[in-house]
Amino acid sequence: MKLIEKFKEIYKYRHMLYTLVKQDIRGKYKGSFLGFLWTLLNPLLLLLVYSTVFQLVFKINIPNYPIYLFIALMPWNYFANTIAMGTACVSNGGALLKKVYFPREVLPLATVISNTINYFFSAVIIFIALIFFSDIGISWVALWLPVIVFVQAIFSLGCVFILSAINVYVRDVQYMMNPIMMVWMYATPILYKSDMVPEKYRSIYDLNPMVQIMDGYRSILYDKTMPNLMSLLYIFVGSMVFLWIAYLIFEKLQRRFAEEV
Amino acid sequence: MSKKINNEDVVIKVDNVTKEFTYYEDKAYFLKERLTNLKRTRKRKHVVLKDISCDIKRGETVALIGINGSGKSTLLKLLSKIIYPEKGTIDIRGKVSSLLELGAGFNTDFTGRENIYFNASIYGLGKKDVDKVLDTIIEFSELGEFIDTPVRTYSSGMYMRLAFSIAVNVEAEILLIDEILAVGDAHFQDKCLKKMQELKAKGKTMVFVSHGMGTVKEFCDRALWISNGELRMDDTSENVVKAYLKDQGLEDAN
Repeated sequence: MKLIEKFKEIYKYRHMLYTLVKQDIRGKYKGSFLGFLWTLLNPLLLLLVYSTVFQLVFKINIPNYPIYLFIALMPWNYFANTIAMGTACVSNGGALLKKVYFPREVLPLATVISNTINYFFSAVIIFIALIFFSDIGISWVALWLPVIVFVQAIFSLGCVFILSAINVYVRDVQYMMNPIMMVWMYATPILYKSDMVPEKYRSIYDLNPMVQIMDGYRSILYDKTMPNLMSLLYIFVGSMVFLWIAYLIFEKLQRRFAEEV
Repeated sequence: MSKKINNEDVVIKVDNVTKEFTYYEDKAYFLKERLTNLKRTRKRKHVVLKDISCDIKRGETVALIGINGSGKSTLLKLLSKIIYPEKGTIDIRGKVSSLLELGAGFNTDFTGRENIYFNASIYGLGKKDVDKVLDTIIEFSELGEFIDTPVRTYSSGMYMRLAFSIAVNVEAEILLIDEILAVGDAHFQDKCLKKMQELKAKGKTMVFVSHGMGTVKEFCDRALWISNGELRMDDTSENVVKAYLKDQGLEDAN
């Protein structure tokens, strides 16, 4: 059983994984005064711009629109950051890859884990906004949050495995991802409701796994209703299969990492 | 699947290993270059190691010698699993600590102490394991109070001392060492050699690349002479050094 051996090996390197994650979170803002606040400032600014434009110019008719937006914008930001950092995680690890042996999977894993932890930090801000800056409040269904985050993390990890491995050979990937992520964002219900999408496009639209994930966040935090468990389950199973394929691709490409970076 | 090691005492088994590197005259990193250069990119294959086989037993100290570019360092990289062979298999038993380049994993914005934890974690040590050897490492590195300043402020000597101290104190069973004794002042070199003698006495297996024939003769039981990617001689270090120096047109000084 090769996969079990791999798990054992990664477990053996858990200390390395732990330090990489710690460095990612702590090292990111080392030497900056605002530190963690920078992770928030960026989306808050975006929030200001989007909610102004969509409320004043487009006259979107969603009550509590800034909060509505915020609930989806933060996880999207988490997704986009994971992809951006993840794509470059192997090609940036040059010195380490060339000189030391460690299971290469540690690098994508560390990126996804540190970004996930970062998201949970920022989720605190979402809760504060829900309780103090709106009359929405929170309900028990918010406890589903870790489940939805987990599904998103599995899907992200799959993406990062593929993108990081290909980026070692073709550096275009990291530049290609910028426009792709922008298009992807508009194809995901962040600025609008997924119900607003015309029925005839719905079958194509629903191919985007982020749609169900975002709807999940909205259900539990904004509508305070149970998430659509059936579709979350589909996305989860799909993501697991995708992760497995992504891992196989990574495994195949990683043999020559040290020579190519 | 690779062939498993049968003999109890053999800790490193290299079996018919061939390694080739592909060189591109103008390496295409970007898609555009790949597409436009599709036909023009000339690839050259260079066989670095040809059909190498050898067994290394537990507790042996083996030197790899040969002129620059003969493939010694490539063999060491293969042993540390950083690169993979095109043909053949390599089987290793036990925990490996490779000192291919000292301080490769250092994050220069962090202090020496923090880097000890990180570097040791690459060798599979957790916080508790490091706490046990932390004092030994700091003392060995002779960094004193500098241990708490960021590594980017270190001189190259300090950098190297810290890295060496970590690598020899992580309790690995097999040490792979690439020409590191050439750096550092005489005092620290001497200290490193003493430490390595100590590890040898403890029964650790060591493979190292060296150009210092005196050290090789004195320190190693066995030497492998690699010439043009082929294993030219595998014998006691005394005999191999003699033959090597003769071939190089240098008589053995002692």
